[in-house]
Amino acid sequence: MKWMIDVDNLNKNFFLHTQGEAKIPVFRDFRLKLKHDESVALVGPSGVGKSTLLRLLYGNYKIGSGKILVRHNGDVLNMAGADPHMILHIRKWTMGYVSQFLRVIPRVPAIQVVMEPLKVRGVSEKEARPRAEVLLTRLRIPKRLWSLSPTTFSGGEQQRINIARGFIATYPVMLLDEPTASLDPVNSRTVVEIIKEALSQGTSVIGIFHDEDIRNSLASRRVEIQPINNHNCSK
Amino acid sequence: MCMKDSDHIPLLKVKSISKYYGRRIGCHGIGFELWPGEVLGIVGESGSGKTTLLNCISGQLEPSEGAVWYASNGGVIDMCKAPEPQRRLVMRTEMGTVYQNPRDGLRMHVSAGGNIGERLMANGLRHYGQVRRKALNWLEKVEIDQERIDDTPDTFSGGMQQRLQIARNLVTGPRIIFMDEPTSGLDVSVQARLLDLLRGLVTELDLSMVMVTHDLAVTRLLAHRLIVMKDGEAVESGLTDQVLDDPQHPYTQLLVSSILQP
Ligand SMILES: Nc1ncnc2c1ncn2[C@@H]1O[C@H](COP(=O)(O)OP(=O)(O)OP(=O)(O)O)[C@@H](O)[C@H]1O
Ligand SMILES: [Mg+2]
Repeated sequence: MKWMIDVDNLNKNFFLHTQGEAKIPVFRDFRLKLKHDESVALVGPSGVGKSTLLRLLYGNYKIGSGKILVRHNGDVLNMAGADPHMILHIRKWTMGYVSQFLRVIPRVPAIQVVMEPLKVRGVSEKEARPRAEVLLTRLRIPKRLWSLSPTTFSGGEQQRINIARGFIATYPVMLLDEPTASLDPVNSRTVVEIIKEALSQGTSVIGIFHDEDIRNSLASRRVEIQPINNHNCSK
Repeated sequence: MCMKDSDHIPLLKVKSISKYYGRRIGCHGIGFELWPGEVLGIVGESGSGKTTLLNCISGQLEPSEGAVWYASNGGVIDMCKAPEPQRRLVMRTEMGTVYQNPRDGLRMHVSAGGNIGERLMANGLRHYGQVRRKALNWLEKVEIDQERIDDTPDTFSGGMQQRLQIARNLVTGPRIIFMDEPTSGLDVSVQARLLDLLRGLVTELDLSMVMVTHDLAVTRLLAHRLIVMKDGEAVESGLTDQVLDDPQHPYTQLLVSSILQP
C-alpha cells in the first residue's frame, strides 16, 4: 500500500537559550510510516513528545534533522527545509490539523473561523456557509453563537469550533491532537462519528486519543513513542 | 475544485540586500521570496534595520548590494537596475506604500477625495465623475463616512488618516503594499479596527504585503511569514507560527518570551 507520510531518522531537541541553555531532547532517530487509509494512534506517557510529533509533521515546529516526507499533489515533498510557501500549500490541500485548543483570533465570528479553510481554497462564502452551518448544528453549537467571536466561548465550545474548522474541508491526511479531550460524552460521540466519516472517505489519520475506547474504535494501529534516555545525551 | 493559486512564480525575489550608511550597517545580506497573496512581517527592535530593508525592497532606497526582482505585469524586472521611468511606473501602478506617519503618505491640504483620486488621475483616469465615484466607494470600504469626502485629512483622527492612506494606495489596484508600522501611533481599539480592515482587504483582493512592525501579535494575525532582524541581520525567518511557537535564535526566543501569548 502506498504511504502518505514517511518520517525517517527524525531528531528534535529544544534549546532554551533564555533559560540557561537547557536542552530538551524529544526525538532520536524516530521513524514512522503512515499508509494510505491508515489510522495511527500515538501513545506514550505525558511529555514524551506526541503533540510535538504532530506539530513537526504540520511544520509548526522546526525539524532538527532527518526527513518528513509528505505525498502532496502527486509529488513527494520534504517538510524539513521546506519553504513557508510550500508548507502553506501542503496545509491548504493535503494536511489538516486539529490542535488541542483553538487559537482564537479576536473579533472574528465563529462561523468565519469555521469557513476559513474552504475560503483559502477559493470556495465562495455562499458555498462555504451552508457547510459550516451543517457542522455547527451537528456539533450542537447554538445558532446565537455563530456570529460571535469564540474568545468568550467555553473550552468545550471552542474545541467544537476547532473540530468544525478542521473537518469542513477534506484532506488526504489529518492530524488530531486529543480532539475529544474537553467534550461531554454526547459531543464526543459526534466527533468520533465525524472522524469515522473522514476515514471512510479515504483520509489517513495520525491522532492522539487519551480515551482508550475512542482510541480503539478509531485507530487501526498504535505507535508507542519511547522516552529518550536523557543520561546518554551530552550537551 | 477551484485552484486559486496564481502562484507559479514569486512576486518578489529579494537577493542578498545590503545597505550601508557610510561605515554603518543599515541591513546586511537579506534575501527572501514573496508569493502572490502572501504577507511578510519584518520584526525586530528599533534600529535593527527594518525600515531600511523595507525601503530597499519598495524601490525608495537604493541598496548598496543585492537585487530585488519583481514580477511586474509586464515581466520580471530588477527594481534596482531598471531605468528610472520604468521603475516609477511600476511603483505607481502596481505598488503602494502606507507610511508610519500619515503626513508622509497624504497631502494634508488636499481633500480626502483628492487624496484618493490623485493616483487614479496620475494613472490616466480623467473623467471627474468616475474618479469621484471610485473615491466614494473606497471611503466606504475603509469605513470613513462618505460625507467627509471634501474634508482635508488634517481634520481626521489618526485612525482615519491611516485608513485614508490605505484607500489612496489601494484605489489603483496594486499587487503589493509596503507598510511601516501602520498601527503604531494608534489607540488599541483603533488599531484593532485597522487590522481587521487590512486582514479583510488582503484576502478579498489577494494582495501581497510587506509589513514592518514591532508587535508580534500583529504578525500572528496578519503575516504568513516572518523575518526577525537584529543589528541589520536577519537572525531568523520562516513560517510565522513556526517562528513564534518554536523560535530557534536566542534573540527570537527573548522576543517571544517577553510578550504574553503572542
Ligand atoms: N515549543 C516548545 N519549546 C520548548 N519545549 C517544548 C515545546 N513544545 C514541547 N516542548 C517539550 O517537549 C516535550 C514533549 O512535549 P509534548 O507536548 O509533545 O508531550 P505530549 O506527549 O504531547 O504530552 P501530553 O500527553 O501531556 O500532551 C516536553 O518536555 C515539552 O516540555
Ligand atoms: Mg500533548
